[in-house]
Amino acid sequence: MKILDANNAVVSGPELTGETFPGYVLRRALDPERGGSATFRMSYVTIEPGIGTPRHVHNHSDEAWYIVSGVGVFHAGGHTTAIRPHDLLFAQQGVIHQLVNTGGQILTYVAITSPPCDFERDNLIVEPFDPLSHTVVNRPRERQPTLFPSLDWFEALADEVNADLAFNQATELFDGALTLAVGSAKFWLKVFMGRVIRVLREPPPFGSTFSITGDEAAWHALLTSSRNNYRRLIAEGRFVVDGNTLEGMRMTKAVNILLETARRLFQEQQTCNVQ
Amino acid sequence: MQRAMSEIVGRYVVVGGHRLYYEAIGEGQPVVCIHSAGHTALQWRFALPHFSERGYRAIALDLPGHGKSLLHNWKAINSIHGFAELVWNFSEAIGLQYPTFIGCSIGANIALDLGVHHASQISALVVCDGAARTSTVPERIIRFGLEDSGTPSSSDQAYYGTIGATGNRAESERVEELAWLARQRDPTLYANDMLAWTRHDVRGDLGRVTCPVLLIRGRDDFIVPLGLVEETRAGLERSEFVELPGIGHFLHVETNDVFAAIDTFFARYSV
Repeated sequence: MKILDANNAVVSGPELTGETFPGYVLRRALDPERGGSATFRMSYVTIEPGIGTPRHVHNHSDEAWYIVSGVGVFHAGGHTTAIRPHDLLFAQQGVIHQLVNTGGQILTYVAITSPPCDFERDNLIVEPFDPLSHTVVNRPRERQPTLFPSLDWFEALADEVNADLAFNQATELFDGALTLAVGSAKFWLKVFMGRVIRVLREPPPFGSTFSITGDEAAWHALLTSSRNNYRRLIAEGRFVVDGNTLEGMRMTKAVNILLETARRLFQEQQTCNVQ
Repeated sequence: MQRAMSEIVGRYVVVGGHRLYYEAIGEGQPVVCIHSAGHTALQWRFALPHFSERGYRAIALDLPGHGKSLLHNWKAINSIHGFAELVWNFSEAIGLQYPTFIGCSIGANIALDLGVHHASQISALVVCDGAARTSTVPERIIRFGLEDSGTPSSSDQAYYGTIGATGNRAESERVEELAWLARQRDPTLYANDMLAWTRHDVRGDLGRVTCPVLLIRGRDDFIVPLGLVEETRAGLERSEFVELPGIGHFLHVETNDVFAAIDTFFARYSV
């Protein structure tokens, strides 16, 4: 990233000074102290999945945000709104606000304060961000899933369950990975402390904690059913769980939420295709 | 039905050292309902009013260790015949004459075992999702459940397992209720029930079941395959078989529609 002025001269290069908190990086892009405008301050922010800003308020600056990538929620003035790329947000001075990354990818946005916010003196934190108690409202859909089964599809599935508090809680005490095999196609989901933090097209050499394998017909039977029929398909031998099956049992609820979400996602997609 | 449900009365009786709890409603020929593995008499709360309204004395008991029934010497029962003899002694203890037994799953197997040993004193049997032999789960797997460490997330296992075992035509509220009731089961006690289930085999004694038997199976029941029910029917002297589409393993809870088949059977055999 480079920042240019009207003469196409580089004002600042990629080595921007920044302030880093766990999962949160704020880079000061344009500010009065560094040759920018005297009337506003522009920052470039990245937030990791599951992380959010604290609820805070600036009493002497208005603030606007432009969402570059990722999805999340914007809490401001008692309202909650789902945000996605290209959304433009605004809060006047004195309005308590918060941005939270509820997706599976990094949330990136540009923030502008005017007059330039003095973050040292005008950044009143109302409530620190608590990833475990944060309840997601108006869950956004980061991407339209492509055809099942594909990496995109399973990444969309990961986004969905990551935004589901029940899944977050069911996997809060889990550090492992599961492989979902659709015939010969394998999708590896790394789950850590409440979230799917990585999806890969093939398991890495160190494998997964447990895997769930079914042929395409079995997955079709699962995803098109009107009710959760996973247990039935297991009993019929159409799905096989192997690896650390005891740990797989411990994750019963998480697996069922994951598969129920997959079913909903698949059926919504079918409905969209029909329309 | 709502009014009748509120008239169900619970009582206790001591049988063979076990303090047994049972619920009853209505007057007439006795119909004794026997619950499935890990469950309680509460599973029959829809069936009891149905039978009482049709002129029967409908009774459901908690098997020892289940619900409000205490285990004698705290030793779990792990054979179908063990349960069956206890149920027989229970029916005698509360003064029942020529009872009809209805059971689901292990309850169904208990009913069949009662038929083997007491047919001359039984009006009829209704076997819901059970069979003469149900070795459907390897004993080695069940034994893991005898240890608490072998049953992680047992409550979630019970909940989701129950949902999966019901049929597509089952009423959603009934399924949710049944799945929550399943959460109440103690995993080690359930494992003992399942040992009884998988060891059960009365194929060689079916000729002694001289009373009429109705075999009912939910077509969506993956726990008791059709072949096992057909095998059972082949060994029975007087039996009828009804298969219910869209219904799973807990047919007596999934929807009241299933009772029509039982009503017809009762009428045909003047139960």
